[in-house]
Amino acid sequence: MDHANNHKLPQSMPEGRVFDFIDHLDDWLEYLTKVLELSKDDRQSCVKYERQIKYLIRFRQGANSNINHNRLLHHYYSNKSLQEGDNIGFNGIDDSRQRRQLSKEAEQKVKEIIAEANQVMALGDMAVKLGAPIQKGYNDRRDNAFEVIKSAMSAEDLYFLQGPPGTGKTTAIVEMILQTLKAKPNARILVASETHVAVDNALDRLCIIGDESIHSKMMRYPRYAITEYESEHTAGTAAEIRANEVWNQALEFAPQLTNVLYNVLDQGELEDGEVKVPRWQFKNLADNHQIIGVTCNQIDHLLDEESEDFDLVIVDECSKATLPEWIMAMSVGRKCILVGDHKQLPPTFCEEESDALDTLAEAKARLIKDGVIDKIFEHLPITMKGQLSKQYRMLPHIGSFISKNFYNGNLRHHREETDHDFTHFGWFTYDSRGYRVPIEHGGVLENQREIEIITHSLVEMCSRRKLTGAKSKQRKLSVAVITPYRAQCRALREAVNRLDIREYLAVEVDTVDAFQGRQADIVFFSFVRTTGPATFYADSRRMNVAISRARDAVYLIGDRKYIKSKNINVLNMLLSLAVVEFE
Amino acid sequence: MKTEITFHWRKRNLKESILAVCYAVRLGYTSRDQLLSALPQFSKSRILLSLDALFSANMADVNMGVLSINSDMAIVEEIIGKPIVLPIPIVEDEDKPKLIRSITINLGLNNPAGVETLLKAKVN
Repeated sequence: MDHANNHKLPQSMPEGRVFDFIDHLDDWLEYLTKVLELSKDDRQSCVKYERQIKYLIRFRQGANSNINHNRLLHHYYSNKSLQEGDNIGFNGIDDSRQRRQLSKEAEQKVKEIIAEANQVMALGDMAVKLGAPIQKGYNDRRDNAFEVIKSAMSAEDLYFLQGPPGTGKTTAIVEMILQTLKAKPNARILVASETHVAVDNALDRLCIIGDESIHSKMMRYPRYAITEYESEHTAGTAAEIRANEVWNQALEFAPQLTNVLYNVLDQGELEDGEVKVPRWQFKNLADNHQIIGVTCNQIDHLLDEESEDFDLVIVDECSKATLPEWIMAMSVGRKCILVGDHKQLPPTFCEEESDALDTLAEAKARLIKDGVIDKIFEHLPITMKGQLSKQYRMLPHIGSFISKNFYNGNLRHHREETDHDFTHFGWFTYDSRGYRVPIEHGGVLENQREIEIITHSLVEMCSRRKLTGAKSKQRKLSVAVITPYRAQCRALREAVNRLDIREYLAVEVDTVDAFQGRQADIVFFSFVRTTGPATFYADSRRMNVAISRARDAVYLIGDRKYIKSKNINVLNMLLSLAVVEFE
Repeated sequence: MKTEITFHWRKRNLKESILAVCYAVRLGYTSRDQLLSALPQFSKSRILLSLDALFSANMADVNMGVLSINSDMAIVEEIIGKPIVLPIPIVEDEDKPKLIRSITINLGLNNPAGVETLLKAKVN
């Protein structure tokens, strides 16, 4: 790989040595080997880690679909892009070599060969020039979203699309899929993500916009995790249903042969009285469909040496995925578009994974934990990255706070008003003198006082809705009660379940990490702690996610004095908000 | 100690589609269109790769557009994955290829070289 541009100092590198992308891959391999050792009793996890190691080694050796991915990542991991363009060595020019003057005839021959090669390569070129948008929503000229999509589509190998909260990442993914198919009707597209829900949402949305010809090209492996679909066609695109369809089709055309094959060929294991679809069947189905939705860790289930690579891979929520996860997706496609937001939460690590991280040097562990997407994004040239800048979720007073504090004021806001009275953004506070949470160091993080404030507010909201509801018909408001700690989450859930508010409010209680990717009309955030360190919410990404789930109102519940005493930047910003009182 | 010989597919990823093509041809689906219609469980590319493997091993033939499968394939299907125990002591590595060839011939296969193209044998 090219080390010529290493004169620029890479950001946040461990001191004392030159640290490049290959080193980072090696650190990941060291870490994964350690986790593998620690989880040897859990076969399922072992398979996952072994697979990640396999793909990382393959990528490190350059045995992935597009070698330009390796070159780009290696270069932009350590070097910031230059305005005059970067020489990453794509053209293979080596000035050190003495060149013999070619005869005119030979020169002509070389030109012909290059022209022919260019023609062949143009067929596989994934840089697509867009005309008009396919989805109507992109006709608004004031919205930069379509410009960003255009730029993503015109990239040849790699693009990073940053989508702050509520900016329509899923809609953008759908537009990119549709535009790719319009330009290259035979293109194979992979939609991958770290979570099932993100994959499901993208395919569900595609089903709404796409027609029958698009539905027939789609497959979600192995099945959908969501149970309610926006489109009636979505459920039918699950791989398990597709498998049933092909066997029925075969039975109709060749009954005897199909019966023989069903008995002779390997079938899946029996689970709950049902025969599971075998892996070979899924691989054949994947060959036969153009748009495949799958989580990063399950990509390997669908591909083997005989499979065709993908022309376009879209990795949704890439900032939540670990490096091996998004590398696995990138490895199987010629062009890769990473969609995510590095200003939101990084990947989460389970107990064994954290234990393995503890065995590594601190700097390595920090890089693995925080991910490197933010650094690569910052270093990439403008032609390989873009940010969606109009948010459609939050009302302007919440959106402006998020924009100013987390996105350098780059976000613009679509919504102006809402259909209910709750549009506050401020505090419900109390004096915690003599009330310690946790009671002792390492104690239970459960704050009854904050639970009381939340339940009281919910009841008050409900009675107000009841009053206004008597005058006019109104919808049920969605409420997200978010807290960083599991113990408080459990206690809140119990308390909320006891309330009689379901007719007017749909309340969900969960941790910040679990809420990423979801939204609600109203958000309550319970800080819980009244003593001890505030490291958990000192992470600005966590506060960004917590607040930006809200469409109309945010209520912060905590002891302002304790929070002020921590003197943390993001919390100080929140402290500038007023205390709320229901009129 | 006795010698044990086991045959495995060289192209493990294609074993289902190779078998499916053989069964389909035997049941009369002998043209391109018929094969594709009778085997919607398989992708076109895997059916083509399977046919390619069968032609390379001389286990399939086309005559006037009609596909046929060599009768050796019936024996291949029988021996695949099942260990054959031989009443002879363990053989040296250099004698293994000779042993494999002699077994394939004695199993009644007309095209032992073709079988060895499709399958690999493990001698223990």
